Amino acid sequence: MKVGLGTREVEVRRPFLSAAWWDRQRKVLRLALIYGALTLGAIVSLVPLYWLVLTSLRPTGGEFTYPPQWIPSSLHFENYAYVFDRAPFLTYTRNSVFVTVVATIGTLISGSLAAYAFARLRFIGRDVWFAVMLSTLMLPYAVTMIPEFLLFRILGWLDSLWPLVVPYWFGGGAFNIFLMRQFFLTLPTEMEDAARVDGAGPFRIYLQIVMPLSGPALASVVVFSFIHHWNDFLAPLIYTNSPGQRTLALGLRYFADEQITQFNYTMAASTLMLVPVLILFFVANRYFVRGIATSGLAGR
Amino acid sequence: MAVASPLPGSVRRRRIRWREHAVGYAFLAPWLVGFFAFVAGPMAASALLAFTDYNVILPPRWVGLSNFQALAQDQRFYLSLYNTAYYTFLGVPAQLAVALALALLLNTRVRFADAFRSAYYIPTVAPVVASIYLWVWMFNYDYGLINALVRLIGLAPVQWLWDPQVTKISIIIFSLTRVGTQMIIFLAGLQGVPDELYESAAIDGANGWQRFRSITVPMISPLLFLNLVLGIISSFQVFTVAYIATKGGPVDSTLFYVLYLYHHGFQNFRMGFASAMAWILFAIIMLFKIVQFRMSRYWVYYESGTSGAGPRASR
Amino acid sequence: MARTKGLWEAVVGDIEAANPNVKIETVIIPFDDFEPKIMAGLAGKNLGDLVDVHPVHAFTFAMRGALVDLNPYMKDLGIPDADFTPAWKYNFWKGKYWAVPRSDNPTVLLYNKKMTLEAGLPDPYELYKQGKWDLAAVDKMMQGLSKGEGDKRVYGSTPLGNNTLRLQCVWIWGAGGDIWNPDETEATFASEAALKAWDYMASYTKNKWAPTPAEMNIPGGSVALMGQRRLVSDLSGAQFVLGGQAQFLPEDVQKEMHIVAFYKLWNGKNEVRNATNAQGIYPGTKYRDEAWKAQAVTLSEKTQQRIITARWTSPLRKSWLKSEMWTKSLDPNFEGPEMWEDAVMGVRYFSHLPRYVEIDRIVQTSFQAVLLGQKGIKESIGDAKAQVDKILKDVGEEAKSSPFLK
Repeated sequence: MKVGLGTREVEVRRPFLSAAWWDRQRKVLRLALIYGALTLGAIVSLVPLYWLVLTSLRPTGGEFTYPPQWIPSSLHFENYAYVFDRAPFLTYTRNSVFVTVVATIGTLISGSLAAYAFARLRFIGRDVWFAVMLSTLMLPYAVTMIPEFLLFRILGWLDSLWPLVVPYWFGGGAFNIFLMRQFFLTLPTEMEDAARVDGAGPFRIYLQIVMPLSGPALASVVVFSFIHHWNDFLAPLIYTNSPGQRTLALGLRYFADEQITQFNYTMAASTLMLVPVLILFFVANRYFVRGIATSGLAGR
Repeated sequence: MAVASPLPGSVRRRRIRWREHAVGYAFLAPWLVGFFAFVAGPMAASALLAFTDYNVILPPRWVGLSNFQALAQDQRFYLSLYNTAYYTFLGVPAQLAVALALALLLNTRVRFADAFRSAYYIPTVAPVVASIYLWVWMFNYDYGLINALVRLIGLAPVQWLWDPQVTKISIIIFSLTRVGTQMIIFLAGLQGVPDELYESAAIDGANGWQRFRSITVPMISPLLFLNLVLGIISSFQVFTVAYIATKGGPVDSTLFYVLYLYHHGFQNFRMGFASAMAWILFAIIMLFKIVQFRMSRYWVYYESGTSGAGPRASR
Repeated sequence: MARTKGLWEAVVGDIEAANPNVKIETVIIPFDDFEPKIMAGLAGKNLGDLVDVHPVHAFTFAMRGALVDLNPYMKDLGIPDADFTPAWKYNFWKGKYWAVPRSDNPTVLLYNKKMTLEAGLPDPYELYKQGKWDLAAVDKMMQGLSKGEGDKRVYGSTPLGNNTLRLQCVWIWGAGGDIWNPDETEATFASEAALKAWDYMASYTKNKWAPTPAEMNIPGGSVALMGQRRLVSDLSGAQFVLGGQAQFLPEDVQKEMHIVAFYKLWNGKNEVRNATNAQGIYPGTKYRDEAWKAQAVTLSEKTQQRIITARWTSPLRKSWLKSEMWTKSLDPNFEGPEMWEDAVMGVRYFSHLPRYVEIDRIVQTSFQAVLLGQKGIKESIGDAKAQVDKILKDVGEEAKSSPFLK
C-alpha cells in the first residue's frame, strides 16, 4: 500500500492480511508440501537399501526377527570381512568388470551403428528389420536359453566368459538400439547435410558429427548396460562352471544352500555389489535424464 | 523404398542408389550378424521345439500340433493367461500413474534434485531377490509391517500372500516400488515441455488441473506410449516375484504365464511344451503391439519438425 | 555349500588320496538355481561324471538314461546285505540302484524343551522312553503351545509334511494308507485312510497350530521363527537338524533344544522317511570306474567318520549304530543312541516316481484348496487323484518301454 507523503511515495507494510503476504504464504506452503512429499517418498524409497545394509550387519541366525527390528541391537561389521575371506572376491570382481566393460563397449559400438542405420540411412527392408529388432524383446529368455546354450557349446565357449560378451559386439540389446535411434532422430540434420555436401561419407558423418553430439544417449546406454551386466546371474550360471570364471552376481548366490540361506552374508555381498551402480547412477543421472529428454522420445 | 519420379513442391525424393542400400547394410551388419548367429537361430530352434516332445535328456521327438492341442485343453493354461492379464491391465496403469506422480514431484524446482532422484531410483536397482524377501517379510500376516499398520488404523489384518483374492494385488503393490525407469523417462519428458506453454495457459486463466490435462499430458504422450509399450511387454513376462514369493500359489492364484512355462520347461522336463507356450505368448504380445501402434495415432501427439534443439534440463 | 565347504574339501582329499590318478573338480550349483543349470547340462550332455541327484529327479533321470545302473558295482562296497540301513533303498527302483548315499537323514523332531516344560507339558523325550510318545501326546503339546495373537503369536509346529508329498506320506502311512499302489500304476492317496491323514494335516493350519504355507515361505524359514521362540518344534532330517538348523539358532536358544524320534501314529508305528544326499554316475562320462571308486571312498569308514563328526549324517550301516565313532558324536545331554537307532531303522521307502514334481504340484494345489476352506477334502484330493492317475499311466508306459530300465 502506497501512501503519498509529500513528494515521496512510501510503501507502508501492513504485516497481515495483505494480498502479497498471502501470496508469499501460499508459495512457502507449497514449497514445504513439496519438500515434505519428496522427503517422505525418499524415505520410503530408501527403506529397501536401509534394510539391505541392516541385514548385512546382523549376526547369523538373527537376520530376520519377527516383528522386524528396525533399529539393530548390534552391528556385525565382521560379516563383510567374512565375505571377502570366504569368497574369492577379487576374481569375481575382475570377471564382472571384464564382462561389464567389454560388453558395454561392444554395445555402444555395434548398437550405435545399427541405430544410425535405422535413423538416418535409407535402404530396402529397413523398417522390416527395425520391427524384427523390436520383436526380439517379446520372447521370454527361458525359451531361447537352451538352444543358445547348445550353440555356445558347439562353439566351444562353455565355461568361459565369451558367451556373456561376444553377442553384445554384434548388436547389443534391442532396447539400447531403440533408445539410440530415437535420439539420433532428434538431432538437427543441418550439420549432417552440410557435411554431406562437403563430400563426407556416411561413416565419417556418423563418427565425427553424430556420435559426439550423442553424449546423453550414450550415457543412458552405458548406465542401462552396466546395470544389466553387473547384476546378471543367470547367464554366468549357465555358461560357467569353474569358480575362476564366476562373476560377482553369481558368486553372491553361494551363500545359499538347500535349507538355509545365510542372508547376512548374502546381503553384505549384495551391498558391495550395489555401490558401483549407485555411484554410476548418481554421477550419470543428469546426462541420463537429458539423454532421454532429447532423444525426443517426445517426437519421432 | 525407391521413389523414382520427382514430386511437386519442396519435397523431392530421389531414387535410392544401390550404394546406399549397401551402406545401410554395412552399418547394420554387426547387428545383423549377431541377430542371425545368436538370436534367429535360437528363436527358430525354439519354434521348432514347439512341435516336439523334448525332455532334454533324450533327443526331441516330433509330435506335430499335439502340444498346442494339449494347451487348448489345459485349464491351468487359461488360468495363467487370466492371472497375467489381470496383473498387466491393473498393474501397468497403476505403475504408470505412480511413476508419473513421482516424476511430477521431482520436476519441481528444488535443491538436491540429484539426491532425490537417486533416492527414488534406488529400489529399482536394488537386487530384486533381496527386495522380494523384504516384501515377503513385510506382508507377513502376523509379524509384517503392513498388517501392523492395518491393525493400527483399526482394520482387520489381511492375508496378503495367502488369500487368493488378494495375492495378485500384493504383487502389484510390490511392482509399484520398482518404477524407477518409467519415472526417469517421464521426468525427462516433463522437462522437455516448454515453460512458455504453461505460462500462457496460466495467463489465459487455466488452473493446475486444466494445465495438466491440456498441456502436460499431450506433450508427454509419446513417452506415455513408450512406457505403456514397454510396460506391457514386461508385465506379460512377470516371473521372479511369483517364483520366489508365492511359488504360483495359493491355489494357482499367482500362477503367471511365464511361471507356468518355467514349470513345464525346467521342472517337468517338457521343453517342447514350454516352447509352444512361449510362442503363443509371443503371438499375443505381437498382437497387442500392433493394435497399440495403430491406436496410438489417435492420442499420441508428436511435435512434427522437432529439431531436438537442446534439452531443457536447466532445472 | 559355504558351510560345508571345509567338510567337502576333506572328503575330496580322501578320495584323491585313495586314487592318486583322480582329480576331483567340483561344480557347485546354488540350490535355488540348479534347475536351469541341470537342464543346460542335460541338453548339452555335459553334466560331469558324478552327479548329486536330488531325489525328486532321480528316477526321472534313471528312466531316461541319465544315470548309470549301479547294481554291478554294489558288491565292491563289501557291505553285507544285512548291514544296509533302509535309507539305501531310497535310490533303488525297478530292481536297480541308481545312486549311492553319502548321508543318512531320517526324520526326527527338533523341539524347544524349555518352552514345552514351561507350558506345563511333559518332555517328549521322557514320553518316548516310556513308550507314550504318540499322536494324543502331540495333540496336547500343540494345543498347549500354540497361542498368542498378531506379533505375539507362537506356533507349536511347522505345517505337517511341509507342503510336499514326500514328507506328507508319513501321516498317510500312519493312517494305514499309501501314496501309490505297489505296482505304481495308481494313486492311492485319496483312500479313506489317507483322507483321515489329510484331514489331520489340514487341522494344524486350521487350528493355527502351524503357520500357513505362505507364512512358511519367509526368509530364514523355520530357523528364524524358532530362533525367536515363535515356533516350538520342527520335523526334519538329521542333517538339517543337527548340521543346519541347530547350529544357526542363537546360542541361548540352542541350549533349549532337544531331539526326539518321530511319534507313533494311528497304526502304532513311527515310520519315517529319509532325505539322503546321494550321487549317481552320469552315463556320458568316460570315467565310470573312477567315478565309482570315488563314491566308494565316500562310503569308507574314514570319510564317513568325518561326515558324522560334522553332524551331517546318521550311520549308513547298521553295524555303525552301536560303534564308538557314532555314539561319541552324540550330545549326551540331548541324544540317545536307541532313539537314533529307532529313527534310522524305522525308515520306510517312498518312491519318488518320475514326474514327481508335476504330481506334487497338483496334489499341493488341491490341498491348498482344502486349507483355504474352498473345497472339502474328499472332493479336492479326489480331484487330484484323477489328474495324477493320468500321469501315472503315462509314466508306466514310458517306464515299460524304456531301454534303461531293463
